[in-house]
Amino acid sequence: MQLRSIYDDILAQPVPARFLDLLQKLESASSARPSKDGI
Amino acid sequence: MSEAQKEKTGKPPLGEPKREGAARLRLTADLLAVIPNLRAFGVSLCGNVDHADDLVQETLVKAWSNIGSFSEGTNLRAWLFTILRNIYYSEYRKKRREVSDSDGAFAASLSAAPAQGGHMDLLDFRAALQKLPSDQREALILIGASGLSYDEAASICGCAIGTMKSRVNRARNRLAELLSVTSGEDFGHESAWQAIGLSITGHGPEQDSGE
Repeated sequence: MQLRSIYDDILAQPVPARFLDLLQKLESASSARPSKDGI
Repeated sequence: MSEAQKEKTGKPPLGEPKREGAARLRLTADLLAVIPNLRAFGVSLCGNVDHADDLVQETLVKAWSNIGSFSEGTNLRAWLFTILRNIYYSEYRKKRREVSDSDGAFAASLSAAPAQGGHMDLLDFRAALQKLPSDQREALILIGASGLSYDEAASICGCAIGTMKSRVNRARNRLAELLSVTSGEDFGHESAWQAIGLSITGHGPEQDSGE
């Protein structure tokens, strides 16, 4: 199960703070522009 | 109920924005849940955690701004994998040298290798994995490690299911070959299959379906 264990190593890591920040930014950026429709 | 109340409930002042807000929150939560998978997939593509995180970052930004093209109820993970993969390959085409460090960087990037019984060294395994052609490596990762179906994996890679099956077959054959060369005599094929986490039955078609 080595492939899995490599993969699982990463799966088990907590989500790095940079992504939490990023999602927060994305969220607040789009709530500032209520008519955001995507592309 | 008074007229005034009816009036009030009848037209919620912030109805639409509220719904959008809820959708955004759900999207955030959904994206958050897929990030570990995206990182693992990214690492397996590029062999380097830092680079993988950059890919994930770009993927999230892209996904967010293109969420309109995602049809709800379909597989968000597969959709995100597709985006990440596209970013990786367009980047890869631009600067090939980024991946030329694969063996060392991949091994070094995952220093917390669990102590491994048996004769096969985990670093050998990682190095071998990086030696596979990228289409085969990602086939193994998607099917063997991410647990996607052949169908999902094929749609992520934009190929036929048969092609995906044959890539997985070739990948595990090649991996077994590489590993038996690098790790000595008593590494049988049987354990190779186990090693790569593919107890998936059925060798599938022997022929290479067209690519």
